[in-house]
Amino acid sequence: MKGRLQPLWQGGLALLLLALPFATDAALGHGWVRILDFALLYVLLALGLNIVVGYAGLLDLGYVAFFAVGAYCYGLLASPHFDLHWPLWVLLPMGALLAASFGVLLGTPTLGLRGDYLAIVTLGFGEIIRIFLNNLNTPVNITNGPQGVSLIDPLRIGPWSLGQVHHLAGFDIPVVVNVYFLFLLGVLGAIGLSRRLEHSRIGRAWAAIREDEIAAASMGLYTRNLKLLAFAMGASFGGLSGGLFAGFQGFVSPESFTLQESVMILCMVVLGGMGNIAGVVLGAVLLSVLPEALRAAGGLQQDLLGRVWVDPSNLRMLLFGLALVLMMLLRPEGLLPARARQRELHGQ
Amino acid sequence: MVSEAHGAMSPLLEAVGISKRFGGLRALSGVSLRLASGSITGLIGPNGAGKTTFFNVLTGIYKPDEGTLQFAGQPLPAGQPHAVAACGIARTFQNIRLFANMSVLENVMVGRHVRTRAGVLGALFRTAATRREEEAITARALELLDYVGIGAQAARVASTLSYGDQRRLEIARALATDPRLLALDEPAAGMNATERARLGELIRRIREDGTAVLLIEHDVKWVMQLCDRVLVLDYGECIAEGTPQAVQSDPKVIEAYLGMGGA
Repeated sequence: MKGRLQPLWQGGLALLLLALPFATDAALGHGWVRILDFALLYVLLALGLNIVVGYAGLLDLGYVAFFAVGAYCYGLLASPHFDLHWPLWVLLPMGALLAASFGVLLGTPTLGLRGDYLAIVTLGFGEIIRIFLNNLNTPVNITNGPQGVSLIDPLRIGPWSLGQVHHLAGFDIPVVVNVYFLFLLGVLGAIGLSRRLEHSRIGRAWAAIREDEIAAASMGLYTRNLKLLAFAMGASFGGLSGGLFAGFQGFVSPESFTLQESVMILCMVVLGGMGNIAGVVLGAVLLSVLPEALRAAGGLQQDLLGRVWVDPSNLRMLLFGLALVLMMLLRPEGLLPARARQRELHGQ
Repeated sequence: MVSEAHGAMSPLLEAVGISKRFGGLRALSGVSLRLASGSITGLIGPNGAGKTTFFNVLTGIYKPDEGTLQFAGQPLPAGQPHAVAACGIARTFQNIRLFANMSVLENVMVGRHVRTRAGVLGALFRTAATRREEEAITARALELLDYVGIGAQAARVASTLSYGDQRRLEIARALATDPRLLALDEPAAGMNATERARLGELIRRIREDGTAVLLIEHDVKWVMQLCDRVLVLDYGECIAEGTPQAVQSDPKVIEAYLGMGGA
């Protein structure tokens, strides 16, 4: 397969990924491992959105809705809210499937739309889901409204709960590290699936639709079903990610699923390089870790200079916006672009 | 306007009374066409005569307002390009529509989509059947690139090919769908005389290998040499149909090409 790493690099990368949470924990503390955990969740989300935006070329501004569907599916069926405590191995696939069916639900009315129009409809869809979650507490309390669902069961694989500290060969493995490895597994699975889809008959068909929809249809591609498939596959990653999020946080509420989140995930895909897995992973990691690093810069000034000269939490969004503007001007194809996208934007 | 020459044999394609309007403009008015298997048919006419509109109706991009299309004895699905391709009609475009940023090989591989079946599960689990199918797709695509004479360019990006080679690639991509009828919209546009002659050879070879060809072309001389039958459109109406010799001497055709009183 194209682009596969050399065994030496593979080994090095595996070792790095294994050691990373322990090293981070030792050097920077639990809080930073938690940031890594969230970075992995964002990678999963960005990989899912990449299928829709990067492969099939369908602009989706409501992607966080699928994350919400997965999160609430897990939250409602594994918490005291309905007094249900279903196991992880049922809830995660179920969340992914449910999100996929919501993907089809979103896709069906938008099939004739492209570009700006599609973006507006998907934006509306994302908001509808959030508002439903916010208001479905009357007349029958399903989602518990703005208060959200709390006391969600921690992630548990068989008898092994990830919500407590484990001791292994003299080491303490904290909760955030347990979770890191589960999320890493999810991300590696998602990367594998993305690669296989990309280099398949279906992935080729998506690329053709992205390039020229009329020519694709004239070559016998049933664009309706292929687009729905892209929406469903992308959404399933979002649903899985939502389930992991709910089990990790122990709490979900509608305010985690705002338009801002959808935009952020889209930025990760575009900034990293849509259509290219490595780029999307890089984009997601950078955009989820850098703002946190900036937050830490305040404390650093305190230590080094005696006082906080520039409060980075105020500047965070400004810097973020500046970075996006610069990227779009200087490197619109993303940090690690897909070859096709680079050709599109820079000729040969 | 229906030709009697092929009357004994049931035609591969039979269009009857096709009309298409865009607002107040009648782009096609009652155009009928019969086309036999293994034939090369030319569709000619001045600019704006409705040739490309007819292609778009035939290949399902537009739905006709009136009229019926029968292909190999079956009604052709109207307004569904993917279904038309599945029935066995493939086309090229007047203003080349390749998948510009994909490789030459991938362009042709997309053409195989309609004759292959691997789905998501096959892709995700990379089953033996899927891998075999992918190999077969690649092999067939390479074969077709050789067939149209651009096998050496397989790894290049489609948009970097020369103009003539892009036209050939469009033909290879269309042939990848295993068509029984190949519809070429101005395949020789922008080509010089040598390239035209070589394209003519390719089209004859495609016919000999069992695929009927319907083509739009402006170069009347080239069309007359190549085609078995010619249909002339003017202002959305069919004004003549028959062998090249018959059509060439038809006063209505001469008038359409040379203008009022020109004959």
